[in-house]
Amino acid sequence: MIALNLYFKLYAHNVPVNGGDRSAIYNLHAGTVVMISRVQYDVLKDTPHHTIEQLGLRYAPAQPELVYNYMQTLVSNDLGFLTKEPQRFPDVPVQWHLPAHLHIAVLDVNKKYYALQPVLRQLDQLLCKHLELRMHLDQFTQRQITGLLDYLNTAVFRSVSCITEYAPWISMEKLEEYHKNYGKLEHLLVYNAPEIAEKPSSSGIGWTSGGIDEWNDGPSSYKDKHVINMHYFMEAQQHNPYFNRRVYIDKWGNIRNSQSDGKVFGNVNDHVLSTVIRSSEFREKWLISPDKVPRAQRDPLRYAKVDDGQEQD
Amino acid sequence: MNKFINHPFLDEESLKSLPVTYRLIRQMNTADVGELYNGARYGSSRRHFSRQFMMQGPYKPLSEVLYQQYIQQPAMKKEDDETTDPLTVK
Repeated sequence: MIALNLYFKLYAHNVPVNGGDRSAIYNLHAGTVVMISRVQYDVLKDTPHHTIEQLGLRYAPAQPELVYNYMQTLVSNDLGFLTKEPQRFPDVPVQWHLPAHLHIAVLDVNKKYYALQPVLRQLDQLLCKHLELRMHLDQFTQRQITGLLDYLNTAVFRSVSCITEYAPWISMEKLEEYHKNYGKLEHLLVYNAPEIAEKPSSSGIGWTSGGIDEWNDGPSSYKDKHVINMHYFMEAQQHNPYFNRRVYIDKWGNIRNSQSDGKVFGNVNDHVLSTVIRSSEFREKWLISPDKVPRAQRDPLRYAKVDDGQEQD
Repeated sequence: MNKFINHPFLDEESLKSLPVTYRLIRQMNTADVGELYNGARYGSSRRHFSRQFMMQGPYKPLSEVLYQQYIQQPAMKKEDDETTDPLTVK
């Protein structure tokens, strides 16, 4: 039997979120979500102020053992603990900071329309953390690719992913060599490639005879998909995590918010990237957090969904 | 989660000449200890004056191509099932 004179406290990494019909407890360490009812959410919000016995009398005076059993269930499932001093266990502060002007840059590389090196230098100056390059290797020689990787390996990026169409000079052996020698390469994916028997030795290397869509579900990729971790949750409190500090350069050099957004804010051949991303028009979508979106406000999973602006049925 | 390996890695002969506490040593796989950064990859960064700049992937999807590893299943348990909801007054 649970000790009724104690207070129940959720672990700090378990955060309750309210919704319309249902609520949820986000486990930001394990990356899971437990769905709960609205009443259970109200009880959880009251746990710092009342003992378990007081909660039972407050929320289920006719059958307080319902509340006691609920608390016991939460403790048994390792979602919280019992304490005499709940005030000694503060909640995780809701804040998100990023010491960079850009978080993610996705580039559709096309040498016919814009030069890659000046764009990479600008991204380096903006302290961009993660880079995805979509390339066509037949536009580059092996020497040029090596030079590019040499530059990227000393630039400010934390990770670089390359998704490229097959070219005759590329082989699995070459991919393995690049992946081994350049530590910043997180993913190296080749599509439209001939069938080969060798399997990649690393999970960061991909080789497929299919198209680029081999690794995703197409236009509705984010439907019913959820990202549950501390960083994403905190970012979602004030921002749209998908658009926030993201830039997309399409194959013509146009500067856009994302692949899914067609609005053009400039071109890398005519505009300085830092000027474009600092404009309020470009940043407008960064600040549209889930709480500001009418169709998301009642969804308890709003802080875990990837909202790329596409309608999700 | 208990990740300790329960079989002894020191044989009885060795243990005889060692202090008693050696019998209580527990073994873990290096890969399970995050602080050892086993398997971490490194580049460098001129701006950070670092030659051991650890590669760190993003915590959210870069694009629709490689989102799978960031995605979780939302509802691991259902607490609001009416038949088991402890707050449902029957």
